Amino acid sequence: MTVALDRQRAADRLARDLVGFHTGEVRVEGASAEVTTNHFGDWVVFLTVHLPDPKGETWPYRDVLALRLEIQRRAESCGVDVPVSDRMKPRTNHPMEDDDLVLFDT
Amino acid sequence: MQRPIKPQWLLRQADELAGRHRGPGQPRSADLRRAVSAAYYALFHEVALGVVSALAPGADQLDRWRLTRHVQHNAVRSVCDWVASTKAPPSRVRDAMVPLRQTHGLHQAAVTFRILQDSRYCGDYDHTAEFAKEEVLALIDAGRDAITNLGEVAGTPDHLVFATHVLLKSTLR
Repeated sequence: MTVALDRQRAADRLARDLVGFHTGEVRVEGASAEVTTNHFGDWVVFLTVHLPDPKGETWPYRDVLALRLEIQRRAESCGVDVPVSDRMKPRTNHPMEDDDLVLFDT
Repeated sequence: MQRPIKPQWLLRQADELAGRHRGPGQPRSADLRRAVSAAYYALFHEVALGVVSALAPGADQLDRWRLTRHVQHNAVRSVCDWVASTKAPPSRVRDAMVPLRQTHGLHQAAVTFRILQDSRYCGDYDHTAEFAKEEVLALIDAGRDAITNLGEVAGTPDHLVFATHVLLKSTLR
């Protein structure tokens, strides 16, 4: 139980530490972390990182790559001892196409 | 009609699924997940084809396609971990791997492979994973760049070292 709490605290530290980091066109506006197990049963930090809306359809991939490498680096310094799985989200949450929408009558 | 697996076709499929150039709005979640998978497989097959080209340059096309079946995902991942990690590689491969970390193209491709493989696992197995179109397009772009990088190092001694270790890690069943 203590290990789980320590792990979550380290993950929360990582999330707080990332806010404000910027490289190129990417700036971390917010982050949240959840420590839980993946489909293999391994403990993982699931990190959601909030970025500004990109100028085009996406952010420059080199900036996103640099951010991911920075996340790994800071995870170590924050004492995160399990893998980090990160997802990037833009500021604007556009509605998603309906997965149940039937296009073809089979 | 038989057609091989071409990394560029998989990247194109990834773009289509992720809604590139389709304007604002998020594609279906299932499409975004498959787009991540397609981008990963594009890079994996580029690696596999490069390994076989490096180690069996005299093989004909059909033999090359057959040989790529022996290149294993976890083998590529292990070697990419050795190249891309900030930690020291295992002592048995240290002398071979440390110079590869200085080869920009290989290092970037290895970093991207790890990210794409992890993302693909999430896309294919994690019900709670949420993919945004913006992130998926960036993943596809990274995969495309990694494929370009691999093309630029093909035929070099560093690439031969990389390919050799991938094949050594792959076990023949």
